[in-house]
Amino acid sequence: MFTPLQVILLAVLTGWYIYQRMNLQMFNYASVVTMGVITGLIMGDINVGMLVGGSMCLMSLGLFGAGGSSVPDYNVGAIAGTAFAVAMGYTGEEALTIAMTIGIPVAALGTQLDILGKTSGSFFIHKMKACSDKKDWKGMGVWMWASQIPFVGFWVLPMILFTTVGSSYVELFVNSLPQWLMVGLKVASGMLPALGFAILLRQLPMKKYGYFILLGFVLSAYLKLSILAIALLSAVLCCYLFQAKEAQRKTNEAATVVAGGDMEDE
Amino acid sequence: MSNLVTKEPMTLDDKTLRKVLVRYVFSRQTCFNYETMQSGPWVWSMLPAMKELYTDDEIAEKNESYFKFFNCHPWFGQLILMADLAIESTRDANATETALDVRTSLMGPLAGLGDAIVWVLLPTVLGAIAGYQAQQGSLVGMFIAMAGNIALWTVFWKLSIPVYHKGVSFITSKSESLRNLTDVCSILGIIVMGAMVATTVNVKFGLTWTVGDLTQNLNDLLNTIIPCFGNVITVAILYWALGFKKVKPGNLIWIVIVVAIVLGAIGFLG
Repeated sequence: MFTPLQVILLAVLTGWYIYQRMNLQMFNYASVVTMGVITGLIMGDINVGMLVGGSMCLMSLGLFGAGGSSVPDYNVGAIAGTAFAVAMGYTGEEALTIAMTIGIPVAALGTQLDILGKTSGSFFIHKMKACSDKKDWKGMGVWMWASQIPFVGFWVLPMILFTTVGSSYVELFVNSLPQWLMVGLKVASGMLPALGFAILLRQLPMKKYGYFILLGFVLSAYLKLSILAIALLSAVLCCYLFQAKEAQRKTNEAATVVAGGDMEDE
Repeated sequence: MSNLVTKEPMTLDDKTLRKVLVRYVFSRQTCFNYETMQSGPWVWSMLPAMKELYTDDEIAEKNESYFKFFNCHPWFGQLILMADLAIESTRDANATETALDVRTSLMGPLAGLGDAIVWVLLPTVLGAIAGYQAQQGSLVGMFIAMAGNIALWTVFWKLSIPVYHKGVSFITSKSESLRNLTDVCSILGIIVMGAMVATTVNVKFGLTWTVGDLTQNLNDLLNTIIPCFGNVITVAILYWALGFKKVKPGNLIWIVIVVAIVLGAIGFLG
């Protein structure tokens, strides 16, 4: 189903993404779209890549692991979903359904893989500390970089296995899925963005400023403005709020100085 | 810290600092672990600078301190690293102690600010635009998002070395302003979330019933009360569920998938 070149390119893409997401972080915004598109190029159908990447990107919004926590990873979901949908010969909307069926479980499994990778880090940090005690600076670097072998490997290895010996099983699995399950996964794909938003709202100061959520909702649901229009309008409001807060702070500071001065006079 | 003595202060040249920075941006979350989180690459990145400032014995002793827990927004991490190197450059006997205090006190607030702007606000807005456009078959949004990412990345890169030269006050003197900035960025994030709940989530009730010759649809009925009722209630339930300490996002996604499949299969949602 996959040519050797495709297997290698998909493995490299997965590995590069897992590394750069954590470290370089230069291509993290809308990376799910990018992953879908690049996979589409590798597989020879960029349209499916765009469709899958775009749809999964919307599902991934708001998901980010604050404070080292692990969240589902739609990037690898988009790679796996696009790759298999195209390899199995699907196009258009049909390809999207197949890609979602494969990609959503992969994305969900990503949480477990991330935890596994971060757990393996303990071994390497102790090796690093031991090298540091022996003043072996080179060894410290080697052990640090070696931590990437399991961290990236936990993703790349399954990707290679599924695109080689496992590919026929995946095809068999997808073809044997009952209709109700496909319908259910379609419902899930509409529901999953809500999880990202709920996680994100938990990180934001909802107790203090939660009422602002109504503003965005009204602008979008009642007034039908686009996201960009709402973001720009909110930016205007927030610039004004920032100026007001800063002015308040300066008045407060001035007041403290004056009060301090009075004390000295006495 | 017994065998550390105060020496003459030094100033590192930009070449060394750039070497530290390159090391840090390429490795900053390697060796991530649940004990010390991001401290491993921090120690490794510091080495080129520390070798100029101290002897190997001193570095080994200092590393023990720097291996302690560190976790911040990775982009702000590089600014704190530069601030700490400025403190180490004083070569004071207590430099490491001071540097660790600075690191610990800055990592919390700056992680909050970094998360709000770098991980929440921009990627959500840019990601939504890129996602919709890609669905329509256009890559303009994706390239805009990419450009936004690279531009902001470059700003942090350019800020790093000035932090070394101007000292930590470059950041801390503005702490009150930074808090205000975090606040308004959070507000912006909340507004955008409100908009996304209406558009990006797609939960519709499939239930219909017939009274006489009038067929009613639960979804239409509920939407006359609040538009996008299904979306609102889903986000509300998930938000509420995440309030429990035992509920982890990684487990919740499986619950969402199963619930969606079951409710979809029985036709309640569709």
